[in-house]
Amino acid sequence: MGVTVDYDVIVIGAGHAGCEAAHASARLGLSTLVITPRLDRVGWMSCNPAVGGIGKGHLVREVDALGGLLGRVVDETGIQFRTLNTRRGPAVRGSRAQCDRLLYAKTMRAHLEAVPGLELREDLVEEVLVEKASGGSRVRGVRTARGLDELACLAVVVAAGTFLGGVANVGRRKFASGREGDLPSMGLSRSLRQLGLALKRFKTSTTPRLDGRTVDFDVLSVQRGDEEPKPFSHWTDPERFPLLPQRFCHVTRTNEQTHHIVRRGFESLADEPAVAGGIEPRYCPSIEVKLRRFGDRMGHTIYLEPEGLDSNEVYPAGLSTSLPADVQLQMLRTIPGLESVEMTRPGYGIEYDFVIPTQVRRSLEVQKIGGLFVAGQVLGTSGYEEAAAQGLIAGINAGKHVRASSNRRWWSRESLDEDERSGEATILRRDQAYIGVLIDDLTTSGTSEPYRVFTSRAEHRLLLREDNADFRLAHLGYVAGLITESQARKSTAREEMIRAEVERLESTLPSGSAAQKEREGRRTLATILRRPGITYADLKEMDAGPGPKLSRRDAEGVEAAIKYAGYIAKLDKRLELLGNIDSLEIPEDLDFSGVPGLSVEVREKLEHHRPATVGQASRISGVTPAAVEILASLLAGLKRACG
Amino acid sequence: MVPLPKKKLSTIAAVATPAGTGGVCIVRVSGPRAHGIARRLCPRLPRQPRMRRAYFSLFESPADGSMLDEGLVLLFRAPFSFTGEDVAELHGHGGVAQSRALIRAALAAGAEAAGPGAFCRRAVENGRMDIARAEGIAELVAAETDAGLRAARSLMGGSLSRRVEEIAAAAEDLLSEWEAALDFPDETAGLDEKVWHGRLTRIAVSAKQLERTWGAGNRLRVGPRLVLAGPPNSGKSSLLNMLAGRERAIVDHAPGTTRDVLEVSVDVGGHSITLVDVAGVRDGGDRVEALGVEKAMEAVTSADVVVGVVDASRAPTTMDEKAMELLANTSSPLVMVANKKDLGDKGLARYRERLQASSWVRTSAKTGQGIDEMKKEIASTVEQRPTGEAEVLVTLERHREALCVAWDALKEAEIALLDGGGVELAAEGLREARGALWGIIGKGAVSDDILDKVFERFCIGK
Repeated sequence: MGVTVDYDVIVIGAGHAGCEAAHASARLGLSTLVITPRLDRVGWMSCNPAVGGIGKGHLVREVDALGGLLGRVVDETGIQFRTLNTRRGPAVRGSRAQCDRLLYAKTMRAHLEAVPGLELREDLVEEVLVEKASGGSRVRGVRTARGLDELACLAVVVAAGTFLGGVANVGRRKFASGREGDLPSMGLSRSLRQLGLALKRFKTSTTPRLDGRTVDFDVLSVQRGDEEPKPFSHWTDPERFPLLPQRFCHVTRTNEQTHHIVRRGFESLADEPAVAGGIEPRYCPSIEVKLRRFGDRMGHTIYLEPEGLDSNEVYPAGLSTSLPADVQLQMLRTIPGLESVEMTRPGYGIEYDFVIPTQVRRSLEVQKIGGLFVAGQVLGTSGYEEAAAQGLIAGINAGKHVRASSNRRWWSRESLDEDERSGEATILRRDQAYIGVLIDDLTTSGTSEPYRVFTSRAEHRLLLREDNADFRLAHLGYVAGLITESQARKSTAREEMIRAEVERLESTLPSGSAAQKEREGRRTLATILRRPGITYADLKEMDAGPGPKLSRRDAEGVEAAIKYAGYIAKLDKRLELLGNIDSLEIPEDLDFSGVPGLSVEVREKLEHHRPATVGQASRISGVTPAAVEILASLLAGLKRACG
Repeated sequence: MVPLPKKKLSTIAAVATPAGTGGVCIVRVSGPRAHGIARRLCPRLPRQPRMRRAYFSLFESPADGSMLDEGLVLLFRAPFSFTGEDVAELHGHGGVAQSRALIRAALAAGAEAAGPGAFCRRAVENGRMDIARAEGIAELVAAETDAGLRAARSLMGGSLSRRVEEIAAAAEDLLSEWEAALDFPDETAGLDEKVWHGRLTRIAVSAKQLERTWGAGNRLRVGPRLVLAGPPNSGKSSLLNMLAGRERAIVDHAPGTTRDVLEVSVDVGGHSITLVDVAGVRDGGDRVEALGVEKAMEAVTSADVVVGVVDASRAPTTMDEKAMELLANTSSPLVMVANKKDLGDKGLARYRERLQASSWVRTSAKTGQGIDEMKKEIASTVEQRPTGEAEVLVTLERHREALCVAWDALKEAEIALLDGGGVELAAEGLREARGALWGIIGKGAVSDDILDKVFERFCIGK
């Protein structure tokens, strides 16, 4: 009462996590401020001018299904769309797009500026301000370097990327930096430590950029996009797609000479801790690390990606490096097509602080500091898509946090922190989304290298597909308030249509003279589709109809439903049994020692891990099925009693 | 498994020796406070005791300092102990009330009462041994026969663990290749996909082969199955009663009295043997008996030793001939018994003609003649069976079940790989198989019901 705040939510950073967080929070109707050190770098792609990939494309679709921005912005700025892994089944195919880097940033900023209640400001946050509250502390605002001394708010999302204590290096040359040419954030790092958060350091690197006019494209093989490109967003009209003229990529390869130069350059820097030390992402490694890890028998594929429609710059994907600039140029000139190339800027390495992710809940709120959320690379991940996914979840939950605390504040300031909001935080399960896998992995196990999503991380891989992201998540986006009713309806209708088409194929025999034998064998169109290498499009000749007109995404949905039918039926049954118990929430203040029937050992383990749900509890080693049953029946009883 | 900080774990205590009076009673204490608890109970322990050294001390009550006993105390420092934690052992005088007083003192000093198998479980959880080897310990303790003991030693020594580890490693190799192919198509373009099916089949076959040893392995554990078989009314059930030493089967003179399979565990010449009595072999009879006959055939084919019983006091009938045919065809070691010696041996020559190779024992169930000779013959036949020491055998039902799950999952993977489900679908089967194999040795995330099931078989203090 009587407490005024400047903003409901303040988002620190305007990268891929920050943009989604701010967008979500503002769309939930909360006044939101984004603070970034460079306003002309909103939504900046600091690495590849590309989004998606295997597992990553899945994330983009999930963010989109929940009402995030990423997919839409990619659709609006994409200059090549390609499906990876087409040799494999629908669950492990990934969509990927090249974007126009400048246009992407511009479009993202325009989207943010179009949301009422969302403000962008250029400044540096030096400190997160907290006040004491029962059970720990809670956020009360931030202090910035340049602007107003203090800004009061109810929730803060830290999405500072690689800027915390960032140090970049090119060879032996080192400079404090958040990203090439941008100031790092030193004060914030200190502030988070003072709040009791443990930070660690990671390292990553980027590639040099090339002057496209000095590349001999004629000798290189061309990589085209899909003939019939698929939009990322569920809400983009596939009929009027793609929006922009499309471009090629080119493919080349490193060779023995390249490797020789890299190795020599690396050896000359062996004493340099910035080069030798630091933990790099294993799956986006610098060329020097790649050579050390994988050897060089076959050379490494390099994709030459266009930076944009109006840009001459070329991004050589696969050549991340922090070697000295002259070594970088020498190395580049050994590669076919790049014999007389000029660099527009060298690659650089960057070392930064990240928040050890086991300190946050699955809502991405920091344990014991109410209203403080962390998302993106600063939480130990790698990649735009991973960042965006976390940003979205942090934004939604920051919004929910503010709503819950405003309601309570009206009653009593003291009880503000008593935690009912945890019950309503948006938390995705591992069998529901890659986002759930990502956040569960991070918050339960932490990570020893920058975390990237792979399909192999998902134990329910065949369920978590690009084609069904909206069936899995759109209803949650709708409940959260980011998806409109008409969008939710569209998704339901699409699901219904695919279901009906699957049923039709299961019961329809093929037609036409070529399919006579199949007819005699009573083999349905579905049976034929189950065979190796057969796609939905292949059925056209023997399908008399009347089938619906399906987009490529929809067709993949039908293929997946039919090819994986047996597995999915089996899994559904298992999940149904587990699901009900799994999602029962455990109140954060539940005193396990007061639960009758739990052994001392189980109690200790529960006390130590503080699981948020019965499902999480059941995954802790040492928590017995009997204990899970006791918890489940207790909590089910509580739920009934509380209505 | 998420490792827990050590200090969070409790310290447990239990009497490790059997209840009752005896020479020594040992109280075992394990956990972070084990040494502190020992110090409170043993005032004569030096300030800086050496590890693994026996100190003589008074044992005092922590409540009032009164003397409880005197004896030896030994300390072990983590991780160099059975459980992998700090351990203290107190060796006092063995007595029912005395051992109770000692454990009470340990509990009063801050320990918690250990549940069944709690020490072994901690050894497993601290990585001192895998689950299969812990099960070997339980088997070792429970073994009642020499063969069972040998099987238990082999399990405890880790021979099964190593074999399962090998198969699981092959599954893991193939799976990681598949996962790499799915997640990194660019970097894995050089993989030879044609050999995938062959590799998968080899893994499945190894799992199956190991599973098949269960029959032989389990016999080592529970003792061989000995089947009494022969034509109706030859006196099988009477002989069984003599072997078992009590009226086990229903004995009646009307042919076909024994309708079902009866099993009884007996000691024959120092060997634990499961005796199986089955319905007499003959055609006809009512339906219930026909079922019994079918079971008899089954029992004979799966027996480790068959004791063929005939009535040698008369010439063989057609029915007897039929029974002889079945016995002649069995691949198990055969002991032939010519019963009803008290009524003469008119038919013996004819029987001998039919089954020349076998040794013949002449008995009379009525008078007890020849029974000792029959027992001796059975014992020597049992001793000739393979001991299974050299090979890896599956002896526990839990391991066999896991291998069956692995086999089924691998078969599903094979079908997926061949029938167009794709590598990603096949990988689901391979993941499941790997999980089942890991379950045997407790690798990866072990579900707690497995741990519970394993350790509930242990006694307290183990």
